[in-house]
Amino acid sequence: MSGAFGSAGLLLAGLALAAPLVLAALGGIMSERGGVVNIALEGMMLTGAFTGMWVGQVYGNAAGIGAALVSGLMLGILHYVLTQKLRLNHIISGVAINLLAVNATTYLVRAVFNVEGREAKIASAIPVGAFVGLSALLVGVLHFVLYRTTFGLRLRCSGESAETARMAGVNPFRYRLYGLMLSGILAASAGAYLSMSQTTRFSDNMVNGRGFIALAAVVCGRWTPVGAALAALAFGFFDALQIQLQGRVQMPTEFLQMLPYLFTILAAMLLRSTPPAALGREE
Amino acid sequence: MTARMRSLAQPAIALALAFGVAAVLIAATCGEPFPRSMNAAGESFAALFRGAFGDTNGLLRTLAKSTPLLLSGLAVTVALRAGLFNIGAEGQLLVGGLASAWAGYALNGLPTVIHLPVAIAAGASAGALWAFVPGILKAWRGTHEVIVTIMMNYIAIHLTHYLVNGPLRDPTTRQTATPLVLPSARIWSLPGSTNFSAGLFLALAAAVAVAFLLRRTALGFEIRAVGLGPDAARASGIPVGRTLVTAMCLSGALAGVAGAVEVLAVHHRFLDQFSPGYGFDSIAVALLGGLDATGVTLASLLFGGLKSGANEMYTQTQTPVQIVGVVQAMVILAIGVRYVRKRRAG
Repeated sequence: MSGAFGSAGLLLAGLALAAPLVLAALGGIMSERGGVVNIALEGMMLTGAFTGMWVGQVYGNAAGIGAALVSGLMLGILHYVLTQKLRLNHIISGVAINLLAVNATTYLVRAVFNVEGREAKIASAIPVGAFVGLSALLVGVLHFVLYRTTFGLRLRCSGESAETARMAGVNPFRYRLYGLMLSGILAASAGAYLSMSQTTRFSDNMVNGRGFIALAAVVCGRWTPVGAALAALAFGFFDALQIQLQGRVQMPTEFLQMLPYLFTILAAMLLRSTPPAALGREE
Repeated sequence: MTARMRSLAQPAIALALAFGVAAVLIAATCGEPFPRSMNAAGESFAALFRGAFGDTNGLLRTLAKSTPLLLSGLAVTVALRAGLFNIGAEGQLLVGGLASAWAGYALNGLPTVIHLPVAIAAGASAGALWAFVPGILKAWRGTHEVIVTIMMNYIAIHLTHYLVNGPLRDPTTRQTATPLVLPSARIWSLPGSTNFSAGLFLALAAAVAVAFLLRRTALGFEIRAVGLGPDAARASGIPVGRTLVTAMCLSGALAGVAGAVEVLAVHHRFLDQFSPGYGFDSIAVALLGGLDATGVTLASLLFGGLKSGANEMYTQTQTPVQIVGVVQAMVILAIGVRYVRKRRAG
C-alpha cells in the first residue's frame, strides 16, 4: 500500500525534478547543433530564475515569465556576439557568462532586496504540471523542428560544416544566432521554473549545477531532443530516488549523488564520434 | 605601439572596462540620483583598494589571498598552454587539500623536514590523479576535457563531503572537518588574522619553476607546440598524447598544492567547502596574466587584493562583495577576446 503510493510519489517527484533539466537540455541542443558549445546554460538558468522572480513580484507571474525569457534571449545573443562576432573561445565565453550571472544575481539580491527589506519571492507559484507538460510538448516540437523542417536542416548543417552551409547558400552565423536565442529562452524558462513554480523564491546560486547536469544530458542523449530528454528524466528520477533513500539505506547518499557525473564521463568517453562536427570550432 | 606596450595596455583596458561595468551596476542600485550615484561607485572602489593595499595588515591579507590564486592560476596556465581547458582546478584543489590534511594528521612522529614535504606531496599527487582522468581520456579517446573536468569537480565535492563527514571526520569538533594537522606538517604562518604564510614563497617558487619549464625545457617546448597545433606537433615527432596527459597532471598537481597550502597554512585542517571558488577564479587569473608566469603572478596579486578588499568595502559602504565577481567576469570577457586575437595573429 505505502509502496504503491511511494512509487507514484516517486514518479511525480522525478518528473518535477526532471522538467528543468529537460528544458535546459533542449536549450543546449539548439545551441550545440548549430555548432556553439554552451556551458553558459547554468548562468542562463540562474539569470532566468532571478529575473522571473524580480519582475513577477512586481507585475505578476505572466510578466515575470516573459521577462525571464527575454533575459535568456539577451544572454543567448551575448554568447553569439562573443563567440561568433568577436571570435571568443566558446568555453571562455561560457565561463565568463556563468561567473557574471552568479555574481550579478547574488549582488542584486543584496543591493536591491536586502537593502529595501523586501523578500526575494513571488506571491503564488505557477503549477508544476504546466512546466512538466510544456517540457514534454517541447521535446516533440523540437524533434520535429530539427529533423522535419528547413530551419532544422539549416541549423544542423551550420553545426556540421559552416563551409557546406555557405555553399548551399545558408548563412551559418544567422542560424547559430537563432539557435542561441532559442537556447537562452529554453534555459531561462528552466530557471524560472525553479524560482516561480518548484519554489516561490530566489535563493543564492539556486541552480546549483543543474545547467551542467543538463549539458551532461545533452552528451548522454547524443545531441538529440528525445535522447537528451530521456537522459534528463533518468537524472531526475535518480535524484528523486536519492532523496527518498536518504537516511533509509546504508549506502552514503554522496555516492548516489555522484552517479550522474560518473555516468556522464562514461557516456562522453564511449560516444566520442557523435558531437556535431563543427562544434566549438573557430573559423 | 611596440609589442611590449601593447602587452601592458590591453590588460589595462580590460580592467578599465570591467571596473566601468561594475561602477554602472553600483550606481544603478545605490538608490541615489545620477551624478551622486557615481560617487557611490567611487567610494566603494576607494574602500576596496584601501582595504586591499592601504595598510600593512591589508597588504598581508592580500598576499594571503593571492597565494592559492597564484598556484591555481599557474595550474590553468600550464594546461591551457597545451591547449587544454582545465575547468577542474576547483575539484583538484579540494582533493589535494583533503589528501594533505590526511597526511598531516594521520602520519605520526615525523620531523618537519620530512612531514611537511610529504603532506604537500600528498596534495600534489591527489590533484594530479584527479587531473589524470580528463587527461588520459582526452589523449586516449578524444573526450572533451571540459565535460570531464566539470563532472570531476562535482565528484570531488561529493567525495570530499562524504569523507570529511564520515571516515575522516574529527568527532571532537562541531564543524564538518578533519582533525587538526600536526604541528610538524604546518606551514609557518603569521600569528593574527591576516592568514599570511610561507605558502606565498612556495607559490612564487612554483611560478619560477613554471616559467623555467615553459621557456627552457624540452617538455615545456612540447607543451607549447601541442597547444599551438596538435597536428603540426605530431608531424614533427612530438608524442602528443603523452604531452597532453603530462600537462594535465602538472596542472592538477599545482591546483592540489593550492589546496594543500590552504589546509596546512591557513585552516590547519580540511574544512568542508573551504574553497570560495579559488579554482574558478584561477581561470580569470590565468587569462589576465596572459598565460605567462610573471603575468599570472601580477594578476593573482590584483585578484587577491580584490578578494581581501571586498570585505572592507562592504563594511564601509555596504556594497555587496559579489561586485568583485562581476569585475572578474568582465575581465575574462575583455581579455579573452584579446587572447584569441593574439593567438590567431601569432
